[in-house]
Amino acid sequence: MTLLARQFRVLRASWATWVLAGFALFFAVLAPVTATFMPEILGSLAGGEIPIDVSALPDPTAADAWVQWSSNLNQIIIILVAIVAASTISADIARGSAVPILARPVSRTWYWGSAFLAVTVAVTLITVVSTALMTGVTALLLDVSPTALRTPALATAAWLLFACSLIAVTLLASSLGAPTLGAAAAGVGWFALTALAGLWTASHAWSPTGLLTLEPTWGAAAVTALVTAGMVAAGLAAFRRREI
Amino acid sequence: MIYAAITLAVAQVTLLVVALTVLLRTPTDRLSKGLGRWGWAAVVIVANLIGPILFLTLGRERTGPAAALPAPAGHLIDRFPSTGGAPLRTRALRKSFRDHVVLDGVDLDVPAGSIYGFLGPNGSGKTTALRVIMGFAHADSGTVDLPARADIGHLPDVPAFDPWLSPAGYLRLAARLSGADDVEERVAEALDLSGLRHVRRPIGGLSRGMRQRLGIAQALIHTPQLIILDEPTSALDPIARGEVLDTIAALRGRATVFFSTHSMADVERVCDHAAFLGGGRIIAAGTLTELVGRYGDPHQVTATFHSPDAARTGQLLEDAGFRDVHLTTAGRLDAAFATALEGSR
Repeated sequence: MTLLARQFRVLRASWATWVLAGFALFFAVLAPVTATFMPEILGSLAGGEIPIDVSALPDPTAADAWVQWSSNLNQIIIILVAIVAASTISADIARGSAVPILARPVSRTWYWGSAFLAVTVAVTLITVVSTALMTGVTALLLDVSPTALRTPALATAAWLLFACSLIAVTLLASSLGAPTLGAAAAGVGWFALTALAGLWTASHAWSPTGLLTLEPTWGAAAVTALVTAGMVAAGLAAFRRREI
Repeated sequence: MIYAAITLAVAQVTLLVVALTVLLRTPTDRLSKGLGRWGWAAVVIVANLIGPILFLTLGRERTGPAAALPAPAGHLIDRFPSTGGAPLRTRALRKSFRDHVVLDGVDLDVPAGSIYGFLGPNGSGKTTALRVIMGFAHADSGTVDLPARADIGHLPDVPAFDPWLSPAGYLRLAARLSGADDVEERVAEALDLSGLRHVRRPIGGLSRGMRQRLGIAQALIHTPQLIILDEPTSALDPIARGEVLDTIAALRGRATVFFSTHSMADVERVCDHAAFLGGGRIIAAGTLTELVGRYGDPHQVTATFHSPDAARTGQLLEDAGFRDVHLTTAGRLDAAFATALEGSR
């Protein structure tokens, strides 16, 4: 537990964690506000030059806020997750502070595992709190029925599972010797690859791309869990062999 | 990390400039009536700077008041058993980087309880050998026999520790990770040993010499049986260097100390065994007496005494049949420096 607590302190000391938390909370408020005032925003942008009948636009609903939040998670927050994950093992090795830790009776497996666990817990915590904030602001601005909450809850849980796979990819890159920015780039690359694969709609049912939609499937979740487990195993094996 | 921060800062400023430019070029009648140009400018600036603001307010280093430490009841060295130490042995250790062979069949026998100097010029492979011994680098072939990790203390060549922790906080972490008991007492003793007892600021703000002393303290805090130090006296002032060497000398018979250095003076002062590394091989190894007897001039004598007339002493020695007499002023520079420093306080 001492090492796990240390990995949480590593995250607390990293600027990336605070930027992630700040952006997540900021977009949690912005998503429902944007959804609520979208007709006014469109009207303001169009002005008098483009004939848009704002009154003809449908009234904003909570679903619009969910969509906005989901796109914020997929387009901005996920990149910050990769940077946070890279700020653990890669940054620790680059700084030189991993050596005196690994000189102690600490297994490399537990060092890697505790870093993965700490990032996953931190990202989960930030995501759950910001999703709750988004839901609360949405409820203040728009009509939300309790049954409708299932959609954002499921979508966020699915996104978290995808984030786990991205954390595993980033830490795998760290294990293979990538520097901090390189490891973050690997995570972002994994997201870009998944987003590109998402253009092929048939892949949504049985690949991680299915977790980046508002209607995730169990098949996509199962495949992503398997891929994550594979990445974790590969990351552990690579880190055990890595020269530090 | 600094490059990432600069890149993000440049991106942030670029986005801000672009957003403000778009705002300035937008006709006033197309802006929302509620806010106006200045209102939107404020929104753009606040939205753009929300990240840095959160970072500066929440993400800064928090040092806080240092927790009260008990006064050291004893000396950390006294925690080591009066007779102890674990041996270290390597056989046919070979390590190469592509075609460049760094270690070529290194055999080391470090006896338990000894203080063993590992000598070699810069770039001779001392640090690589220590990294292989510690398992941070993989040997191409060969074996290393050493005790379990919990019984090893290690100081890396560049001591880098969690920069956000205080020295006490890091020593606490080191002791806990090693499974030591009496953590707070050990931390107080280790701080006392390293002369960092009153240093409360984070490690990131310490000088290289202070980090070196912290590194030695963290290597000793769990009273290991084998202590591996990579250039423990580098970056230290003469007084701290003397203190570190005294600490190493005090461990004789209590633990095995294996340290790399290119300072012959350090080895002569504290070691009972030494090995010379050159060309990736152990050129010579043994006790200091054996090494001097084998490779030194047995007729060369070093003497220290007070003489009222140095010139006359030289003449007397030459008259008595001594050859190659070199007389220098008595006293050592580091001792003179210590006396001068003491006098200035």
